Formats: sequence, C-alpha cells, structure tokens
Amino acid sequence: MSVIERPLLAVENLSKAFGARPAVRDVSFSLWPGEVLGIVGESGSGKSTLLNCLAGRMQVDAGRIVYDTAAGAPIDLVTAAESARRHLMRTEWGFVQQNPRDGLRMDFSAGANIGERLMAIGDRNYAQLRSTAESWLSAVEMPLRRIDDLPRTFSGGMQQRLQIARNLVTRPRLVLMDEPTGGLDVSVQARLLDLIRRLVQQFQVSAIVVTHDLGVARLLAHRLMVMKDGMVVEEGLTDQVLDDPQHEYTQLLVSSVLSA
Amino acid sequence: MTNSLPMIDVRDISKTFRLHLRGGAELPVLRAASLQVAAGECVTLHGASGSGKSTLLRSLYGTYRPQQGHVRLRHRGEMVDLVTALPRQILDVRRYTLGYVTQFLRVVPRVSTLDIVAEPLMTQGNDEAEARRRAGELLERLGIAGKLWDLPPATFSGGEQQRVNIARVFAAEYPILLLDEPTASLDEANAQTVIELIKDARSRGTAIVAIVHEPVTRAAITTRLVPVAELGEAA
Repeated sequence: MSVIERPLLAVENLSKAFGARPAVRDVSFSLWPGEVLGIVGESGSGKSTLLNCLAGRMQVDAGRIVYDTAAGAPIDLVTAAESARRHLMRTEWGFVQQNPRDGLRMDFSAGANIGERLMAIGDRNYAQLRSTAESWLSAVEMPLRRIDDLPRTFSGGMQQRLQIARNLVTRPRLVLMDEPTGGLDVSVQARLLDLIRRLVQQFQVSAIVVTHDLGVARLLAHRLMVMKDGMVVEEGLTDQVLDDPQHEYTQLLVSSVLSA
Repeated sequence: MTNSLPMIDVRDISKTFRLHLRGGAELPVLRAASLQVAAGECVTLHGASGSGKSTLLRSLYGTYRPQQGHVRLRHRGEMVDLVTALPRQILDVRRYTLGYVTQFLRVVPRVSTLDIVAEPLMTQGNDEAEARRRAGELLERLGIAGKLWDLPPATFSGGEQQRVNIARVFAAEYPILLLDEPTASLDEANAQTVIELIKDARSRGTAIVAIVHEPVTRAAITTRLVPVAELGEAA
C-alpha cells in the first residue's frame, strides 16, 4: 500500500516535569489526517499534562511538537514564535475542555460564543456571523431560540455542546479534547458521544481525546495510547488494546471495567 | 466453481496469552498454525471450545497480535501482512477488504438501524443515497421491518440485532469475510436467508472463514472443514 501522506502531528521525545516530579516522560507519537487518537490512563498518569503541552498551555522541558500546517509547512510548536503558535491555535486547532465553563465565555451569549472565534480571524459581517451561529447551534442540537441566552442558563450537556460548536466553527484540522464527557449524566454522555462521532466524521477532523473512560475510548478512537506514570506503556488499534491488552497495567484497566 | 486466487495466507502463527493479573500465567492457544483460503472458498473452523477458533478469527481481523508468524490478506491487489502492518494500514484493510460478523452487535447510542447498516458503505466512499438504498435492500431481505429502520437497535431482540449486524457486513461486499456463529440466534427462515447471502458472496469470489456449530448452516455453507487443532503443532 502506498501511503505518501505526512502525519498531521509528530511528537518527538516530549518531556515535562513539575519540579522534581516527572509528569510526561519521553513521549513520541504521530497523528495522521482524519485519525482519532485516544489517550487513556488513570488520574495522575500524565495524559492531561500531555494534552496541555500539545496545546501550548504548558511549557515543555524537552522534545518537539511538529505540526503540518494547512499551508503545507511543518512547524515545531515548541520553538515557534508565540504569535505564530497563537494564530494556529485560533484557526487550525480547537480545544474542548472537560469543564465547559473553562472553554466558554460565560458572560457572552451562546451566539457570541460561537461567533467569537470567527471574529478573531477577521469575520465582521454581523448578519453572516449570526446565521453561522444559528447553523452551528442546530448542528449541535440546540434550540435556536436560546441563541441570545447566557451559557450559565444552560444544562451541563448543552454547555458542552456549545463549547464543541464554538471550537468547530472555524473548521479546525485538529481538535484536542480533555475528558469531553466527564461530569455528565450517562444519557447526556451518549448523546454527546454520538454528536462528536458524527461531527468528526462529517468534517474529517483529526482529534486527540483524553479520557479515563474505556467505553468512550472504544466509541470514539481509532487508536489508543495507554499512559502510566508519564510514559506510554502500550499503543495500538482500539480493539487491539482493549481486547488483547499486553501490558500489566492495561490488563488491570480493562479488567476493572464493568462492561466496555 | 473454484477460483484459486489466494486471499488469505496464514503462516506459522503462534499466539500465547500472558495473564499478568494471574501471576504472569501463560496460555498458549495457537502454535505455528497455518491456513490458506482461496477466493470463493468457505472454510469452517472445527474444534472444541478453547481449541483456538476464535483466537484464529480475531488474528485474521488484526485484533489479536500473534507473537510469531504472518497473517497475509489480499488487499488492493497485494498481500498485506496484518502482523507487521501499521495501524492505519489495518484500518484500510478493514474498510475495503475485510468484514467481520461478530456474535453481538456493538450498539452505538442513538444511531439508527439504517445508518448503522449504511455506515461501512459510506466509509468506502459511496454517496449517502446509494448507501442507504443498499442498506435498505439488505435489511428487507433479512426481514427487518421498515418501521424499525429509523430506530437504534439497542432495544431490538437478539435475533434482530444479529440480522442488523449481518446486513451491515454483507451490504459492503467485502472480498474477505469472517463469520462467528452468524446464524446462532436466528430462526430457520432467517438462517436460510443468511445461508443464501453466504452462497451469493462465495459466487462473487468472496473468501470466507467461519465458526459455525449449528449443523444445517454448517453443511450448507462449508466447502472445507478445518480442525483447528491440526493447523499447527499441538499447543
């Protein structure tokens, strides 16, 4: 099979410590266009720190994060100028936080939350912004009459869907998600999972999803990395890792789930 | 009709499970097992529970990674070894070449029956209308009433879910099919439909490996019965 495409993201030997305590240790992986990569592990395994390092929210101690931009020019985000990095985050990347209050502007209306990222890249036509916001509200199954309401008047599930709309409106090529269904009721989770799955397919975005929930990983991810103590202890296709776990820690994780 | 084009070439695979939670106990299941399957053949695996039938089937799908040997499948005109292929190459093989009817449908919340069946066709690049049309044909042939097509199959009976599962895999017309007890929870009429689907697939040149206990289906579809214990050295 001839595969000549390049990875969208190539992470090489990434390390990050908090003082003397290593949080991410020598992690390397590639993410391919259209791929959804799940990162699983327990709290404290380093998976969220890794995600924050990728997003530039934390400074890394060592390693490279090479991103293949839409313009076709790979750029190392660790050494890139802050302005170039910020521009990419606004235009080509999205970040869905576990807590929607961290990812939304709570004092902006739903419509303004969606429109803000468009305005940040130079969109100024109010009517156009509003109609785009409307179409994204319906894409994430929110009633249009709520467009002028503040996020705090929404349920947790609705806030999370609004955060997803806010991220996808600029049609990013890569979306990072940190426990996107954490803290939601099971029935709300199912709806959100189905929505994420559909939008990722429809818009062909690549995604990195951090989750401690193996059921979520099974539904969303093509491929999994298992982290423990800051290191990747196992990786493979989702069914390989969950149905034939090799590492002792992965076997423990899989056997601890009631049904995945 | 015999078509001798080799589609599956398993060479000397060994698979041992190491159970870390049981003090590192080792469970050898396959040892140097080999199996070749040509286009148009339906090989039925034979053997007692624990003899390695499911392990072999899952190794053929790339879910189980053998410690040794090769699992080569004909994909886009060349033999691709699942043991050494990159994850995204295995996904490509599964998208276009390899279908797997498991015993249970893994239900995705909220997705309708028709969309579940149409999904593999759409990922192969068919347009939505065509994918849904073919999905509907298969569901109809398998006796899933049209009024159920818009519902997610979570609440369906076991037999209905199994037929949705079969429709999903057969609609995509993969050149290689793996079948794990495809008629186990079906009544006689539906089992007969599945037997016809399998025969149709064989006449298109599909290579099939199946696990079937039920004697009527087994007799109707099998072109070669293979005792798993005799595929390699005794494990």
